[in-house]
Amino acid sequence: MPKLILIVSSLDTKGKEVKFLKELIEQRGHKTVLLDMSTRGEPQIRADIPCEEIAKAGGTSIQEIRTSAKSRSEITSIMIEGAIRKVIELYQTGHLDGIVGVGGVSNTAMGTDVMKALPFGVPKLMVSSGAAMPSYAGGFFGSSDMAILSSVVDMAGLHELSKSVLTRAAGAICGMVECSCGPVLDSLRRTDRLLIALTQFQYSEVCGELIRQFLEEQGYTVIPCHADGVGDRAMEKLLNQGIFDGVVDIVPGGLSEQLLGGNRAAGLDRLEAAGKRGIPQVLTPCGFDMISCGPLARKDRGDPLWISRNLACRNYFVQDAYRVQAKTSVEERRMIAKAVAEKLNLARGPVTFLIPLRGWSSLSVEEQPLYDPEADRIFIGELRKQLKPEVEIREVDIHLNTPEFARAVVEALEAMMKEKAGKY
Amino acid sequence: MKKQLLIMTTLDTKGREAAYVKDCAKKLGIHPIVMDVGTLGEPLTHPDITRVEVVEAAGYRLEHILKEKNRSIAFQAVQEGGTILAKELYEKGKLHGVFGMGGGTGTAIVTHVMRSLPFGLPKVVLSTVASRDIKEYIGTKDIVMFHSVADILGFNEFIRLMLAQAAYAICGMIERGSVIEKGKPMIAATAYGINSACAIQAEPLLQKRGYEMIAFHANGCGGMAMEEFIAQGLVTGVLDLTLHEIADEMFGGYCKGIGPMRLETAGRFGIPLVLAPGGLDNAVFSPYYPMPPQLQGRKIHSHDIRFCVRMGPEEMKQFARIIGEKLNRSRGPAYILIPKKGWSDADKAGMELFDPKTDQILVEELKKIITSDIPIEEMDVHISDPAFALRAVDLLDQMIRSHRP
Repeated sequence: MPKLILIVSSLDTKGKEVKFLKELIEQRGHKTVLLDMSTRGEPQIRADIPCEEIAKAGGTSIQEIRTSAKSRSEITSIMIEGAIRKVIELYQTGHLDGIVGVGGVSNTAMGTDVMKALPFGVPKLMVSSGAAMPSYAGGFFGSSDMAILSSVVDMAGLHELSKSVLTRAAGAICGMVECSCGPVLDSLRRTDRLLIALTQFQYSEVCGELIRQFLEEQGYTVIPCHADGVGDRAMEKLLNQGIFDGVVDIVPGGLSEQLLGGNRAAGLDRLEAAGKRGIPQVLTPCGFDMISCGPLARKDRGDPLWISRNLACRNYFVQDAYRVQAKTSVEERRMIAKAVAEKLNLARGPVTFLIPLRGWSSLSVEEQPLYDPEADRIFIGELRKQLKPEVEIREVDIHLNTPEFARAVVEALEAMMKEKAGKY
Repeated sequence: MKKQLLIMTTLDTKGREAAYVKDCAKKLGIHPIVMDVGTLGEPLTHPDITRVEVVEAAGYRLEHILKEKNRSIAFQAVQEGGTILAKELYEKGKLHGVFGMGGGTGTAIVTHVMRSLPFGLPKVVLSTVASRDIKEYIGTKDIVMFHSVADILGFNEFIRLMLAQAAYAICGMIERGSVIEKGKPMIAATAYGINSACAIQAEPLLQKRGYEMIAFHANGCGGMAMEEFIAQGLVTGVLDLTLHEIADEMFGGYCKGIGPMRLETAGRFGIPLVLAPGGLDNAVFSPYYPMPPQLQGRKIHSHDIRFCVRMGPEEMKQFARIIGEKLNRSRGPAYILIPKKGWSDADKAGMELFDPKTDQILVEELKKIITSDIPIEEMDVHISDPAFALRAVDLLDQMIRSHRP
């Protein structure tokens, strides 16, 4: 069955390249929709969704875009907003099976922003000559499941090399839409096993691995999400899409990283999605004991984070030249507890907060550099003060990375899952 | 013969995933070859190329690696061995695409192998660490990087979906073929932001003479990509108009990242080369690429958050030595063309970095170093002057016509 592939690019400069790609996709038997993101000139080929419509959907007109004194970044955000509206509309009415973008850095920034608005599982491919630019790629991917084809050569002009790249791009996106078996939610939902999201990182490895094993033994499907500020951010998004039935948030540290300015910052809306969906969630304080502040070279470079938080005077753990974890202070623990409580108090579903009293991560057990039971206690006190009574806080007198604690986590989740199932 | 897909991953942790990709490929009529690049534990699925074969290809012994428990040696062994075996398959015409997956380590191993394979051969990697700086992983190669979002750990519907999409993508690419059709002869040119006018003017001039131009952005990655294209035999002549990367490499600037082969490949393969010192008047810095203290007090031209810092007499001499020594080794014709009125938009009459006297130091030094068979011609124009592009194109065209390799 032919599928619908949306091609997004600026047709005032990339007309020839897009036309070449479009024809290849159509030769394969699929249909294409051209969406034009041009902001400067007339398109070189006819668009199915012209830039006029995009500007209008963004709340202005293309004349305004071309002639106004607005800054470049304002103009692109208007076009992105307009394009997202159009694309979501197409997706929701069943007129979009995959999306492919073509261009340099500007087109990549716009194209990938549009792609990020589409749910997980919809094939997304960006053909980009800017993919290898240092410090850009992270932003392009965000927490989305896209693929980026690094074109190496500039996507300017049709020659043997750009044609070779576009030919492979056509092959890739066609392959991707041909494999996709309808909306992802449906395909995930086709399974009768319950899906549980599990956050983890290396300092909770033993605990995470045991939990995964125990849950799988109980018949759950576990989706591990790396709590590095990307995987956990992605989990929040997927939670909003309604994919999961429960969350084991072993490492909610992405929230404290966000508040303190650490490397694993996972966004200010971290810890919200599960509560909004009303699904059962178990949390631990793992990750609240530390702030990710590497590379170590920042220490002597007068880095703002190191200076403002006076990290050099704290205990910290150096894994290698890049990965450094400093201990969070008593004051910071209070602030984190407050923020956590604010989020969890909004939860519409059951929440259990489990605290391992002998260390929240492998770095904060006795004799490890982040060991600080006093600070841990202050966090617990503050959390108890701030949390609504419906949220259960349970203290367990062992450390996080033990079978007993993992067992306690699984039991807490199971109890909530059963109770919830019983209600319906 | 069916087309063949090499599937590379660490089978001690990603066995089920590899088996799944293998099944996808078979379903699509592609013959899979599974290579195990894991060394820590037993493979969870049967490989076609075992870890023993991989490490031995690079001259290591698996027993030693396991005994030593040295991760970095294990890592090096599979990288080297995997590369040797993959190249062998490719050279025998038995390789039509490469698929790899992994976390940080796995991604590093499989992309290392991919970077050793030519442009045009389909390459897909499914990675948990895509959302990082991927420059070091993809380098100068046409790799498709899939972001797995969730960890590739535990086998579930979620991961199956990502695996299927990536597997279908590589198979779709393979079906399309990976041969680059030779059309018009191609000329490689270098440009960057403040020295792009020359390349832009050169393009139509080259087209009129029957060539096609490919521009490479001299940002630390583009220059190296060009060198690889030359090595792959895709290029007939080179207009190396932007040498700026040499300055940034020296001072850790924004466009650093070139390797020792920069400026050398055309000479090594005897490809005609016209060279101009575009952008050597400055090094570029930004908050992420801070200016070293020894450049304090130099003249500055600000771009956006990036700024260009004037290079002085001492650097001019060093640049001349680097360029001179590299060009002297050329086996093909080379020609140095110097614009005397400035080398970039910042080094132009009326601009902050305009300083023809300092620029001239490089020229005089070059004259001392360069051997007599490489002409140095000076023109009394700015590098962006149309006359300069025209002269560069005419020279290259003549060199290509009279040069019989």
